[in-house]
Amino acid sequence: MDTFSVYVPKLLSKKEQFLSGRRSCKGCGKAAAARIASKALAPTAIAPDQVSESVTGSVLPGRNFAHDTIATDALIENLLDTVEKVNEEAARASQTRHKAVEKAVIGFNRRILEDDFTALTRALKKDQSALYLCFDNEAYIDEMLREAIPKPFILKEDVHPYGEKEVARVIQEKHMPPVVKKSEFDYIATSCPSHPFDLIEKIKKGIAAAGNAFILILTPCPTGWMFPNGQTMRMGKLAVATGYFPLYEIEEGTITITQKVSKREPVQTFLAQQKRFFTLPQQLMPVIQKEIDTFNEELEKAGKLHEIFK
Amino acid sequence: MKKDDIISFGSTIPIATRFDTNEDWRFERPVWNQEKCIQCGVCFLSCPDGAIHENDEGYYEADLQYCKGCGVCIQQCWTGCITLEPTVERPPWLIK
Ligand code: SF4
Ligand code: SF4
Ligand code: SF4
Repeated sequence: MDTFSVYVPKLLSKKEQFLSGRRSCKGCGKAAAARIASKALAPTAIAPDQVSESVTGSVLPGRNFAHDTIATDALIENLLDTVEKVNEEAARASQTRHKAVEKAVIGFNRRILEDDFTALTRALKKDQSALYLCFDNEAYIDEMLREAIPKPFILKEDVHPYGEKEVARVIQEKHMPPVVKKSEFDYIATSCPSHPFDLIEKIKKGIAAAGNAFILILTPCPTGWMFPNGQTMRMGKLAVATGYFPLYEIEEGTITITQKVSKREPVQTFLAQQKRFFTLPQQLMPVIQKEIDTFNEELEKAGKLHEIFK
Repeated sequence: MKKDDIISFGSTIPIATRFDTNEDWRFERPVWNQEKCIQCGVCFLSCPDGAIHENDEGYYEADLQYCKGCGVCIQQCWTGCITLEPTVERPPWLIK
């Protein structure tokens, strides 16, 4: 955050789109990201993500999301179907080509992409263009950590424990889900709620983009990552400062790093703050550091999309 | 890793809560020192629960019905004018 942005919050809408009284954990980074996003998009429809809907979707009695939740029980695809139907009806009612929803904004957990590989590809085939906000609270890393613990000798080892190759793969996929690398988007970016103005700017660009846009948002999660709940924003800043999650954007195939880090801190400082990594074998640390260094160097050198997303 | 560290995980979510307020989520409440505040609104933007609102004089304050006492606003404030004031006693098994 530079000094000029200090007073920017004053310019944002005072009207709360994302109402208080939800049951998400104290200091939830995902709730913070969704709230900042709702500020950036003021009159646009936003749908809650389905996976943690049971947590963030349930609110105190008499309170509900300020925006209609269109179809929360269905996946991304059904949401787009609904948007198309709404548009058709609006066009029929007004006898013009008026669109009720110009661009759909869909927020979902990254877990959906890990569980349902074709969810995004199916959605991209539709006519309706959308801005996809992918909240990444790294729920899938839990599985990796569980596998990294050696099994007691009585138990039969039917799963291969996570080793250097698997960890390297996780870090390589961290910066962008593989399905996004293979698809065509007009605008791709990564962001984090610890840099709120960066996030707001990127969402506005995503809305303005002609076709589909995708923003990957790292949302620190105090419960899952096991750190004190006041440190949410600090954790996001550390992830950026260590190069674990570099903030960049790809506009029309040109890569720009939006948050330049002059000297990367060792990734150990970031991982050591989180108690979820206490089972991670220490010999894997150089592997993680090496992968992060490689990606950051590639990112700094690359000017075009195809140079990093092979 | 200390034994205390492992137990402290439990402090994030209460085991049972009331459904008309978020009061029982918190052990501390944020208190604003208006002399130091520059009215920038960074705390307002960073609150994950949308519990901070602007009052008539342009200063910010927390809606104590919805504040969960997480401390994110305290970390984010530039001038350090927000402090945490204990409201209820923390149970001994929940370490900060
Ligand atoms: S588990 Fe993590 S992402 Fe889910 S509500 Fe709690 S802090 Fe937020
Ligand atoms: S302590 Fe947390 S919930 Fe309460 S006002 Fe500050 S940021 Fe919001
Ligand atoms: S961040 Fe601090 S200085 Fe800025 S408005 Fe909030 S309390 Fe005042």
